[in-house]
Amino acid sequence: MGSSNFNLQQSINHYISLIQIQGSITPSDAAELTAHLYDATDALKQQGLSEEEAFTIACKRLGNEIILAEEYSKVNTSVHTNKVWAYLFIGFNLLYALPSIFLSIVALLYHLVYKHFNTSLTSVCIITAFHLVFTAFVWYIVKSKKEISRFIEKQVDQNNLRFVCITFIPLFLNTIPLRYFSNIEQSVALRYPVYAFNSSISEFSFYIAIMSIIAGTLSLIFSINKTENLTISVLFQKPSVPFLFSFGVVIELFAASTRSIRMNSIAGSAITFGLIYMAASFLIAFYNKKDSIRKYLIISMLFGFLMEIGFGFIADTERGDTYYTVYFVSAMILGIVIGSYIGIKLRDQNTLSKPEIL
Amino acid sequence: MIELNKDLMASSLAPIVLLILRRQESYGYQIIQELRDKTGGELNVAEGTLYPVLKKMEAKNWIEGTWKKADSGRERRYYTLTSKGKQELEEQYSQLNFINTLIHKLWDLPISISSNP
Repeated sequence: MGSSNFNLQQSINHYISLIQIQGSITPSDAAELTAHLYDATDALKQQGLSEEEAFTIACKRLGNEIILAEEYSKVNTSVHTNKVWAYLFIGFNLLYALPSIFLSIVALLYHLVYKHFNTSLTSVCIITAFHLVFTAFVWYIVKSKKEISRFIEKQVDQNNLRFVCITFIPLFLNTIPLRYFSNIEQSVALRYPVYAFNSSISEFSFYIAIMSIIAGTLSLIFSINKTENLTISVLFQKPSVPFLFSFGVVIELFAASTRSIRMNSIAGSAITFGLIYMAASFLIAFYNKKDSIRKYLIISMLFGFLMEIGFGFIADTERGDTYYTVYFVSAMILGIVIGSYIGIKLRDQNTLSKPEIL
Repeated sequence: MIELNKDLMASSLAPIVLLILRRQESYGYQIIQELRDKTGGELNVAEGTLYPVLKKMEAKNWIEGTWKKADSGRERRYYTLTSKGKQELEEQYSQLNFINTLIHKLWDLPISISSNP
């Protein structure tokens, strides 16, 4: 007995997609196999079988996806090569052209907000909200890594030429100069949150958005050789030296950007600065074994330490009689110590509450 | 049901398809149906494996494939024999006949009872 909700078209598409996933058939081959399944199902139905039974037998007679992929791979030797090139074009268009067009839109947004609301509270609210939404969007993209790759893979498998052509659209749109819409210079407009809006909140949210792009990109890059899903623990457990160094650079840039928040006392600025380092050392300590933590912390925080000592000293000398470096470096070291202490304690508690099952 | 050796099947399928297409243009499913009819359903082969063979033959210009809309409105890829395909069929037909005759001759020879020294 066939189930009443059986859908032949969906079932055939699913079966063909299983063969396509093997990666050795062209869209024309898929269309031919689809036509075959329809013909075979129709013929078996005429012999008195239900649609579902007919489809099942037709699939069995067609052969399983491994055998078919193996046979097709002997004649479609260029399919794999073409697929690699399709991914190269798609990658270029998605990672270059799409962000480029996005930057133009952002520049236009900054320009229009500044033109209409100048440095008012409205403009600060719009710009800050935009930066926060954008930051959330960046992390949503990182989180959806698997779904995005599945979507791209499916498009390439089903109709690679059409998909590659579609991804070229942003590249062509990018050739339209921004000046066509408004008399602005993109590179100038993109710096409005720092120089024009005159608000530490919109400036700091701007840095958060930029840090998110850098950290998100690094997360995607350093998860490439991981087999598990992209999570914080996967990234921070047994980290590689390049990862730790890159992480240290991002943390230093992020911590330094907190100076954009105007505070009345240098101690307040230093504490905010130290909090970023505390969070960073917590992540390293929480996800790693006690004996490796010190090494990981030194590698990751070395860049920030040298930068703060070096540039801080130059800045203090230029200002004359300030000793801000002492505050920031002390806050940094204190943040690292406290962060790693909390990380170790919480990890130990976590391990005790979840005993390992042998 | 006869399950042909994989290599034998691979080498035999091309001349069989050429022979089927010699009579009229046809599409994948119809070719398989004809194979099934002529062997009385005795030949057990994964139907999908015919298509890579058709593709290989098309690459060698023995056959030519064209997408056509059937009466049902569905599209099917119809194959026709080319002049190069006809020539190839004649050559393969005579070669297969030669092998067939040789096999028969050897098969019919009496088995000698040799005494090992």
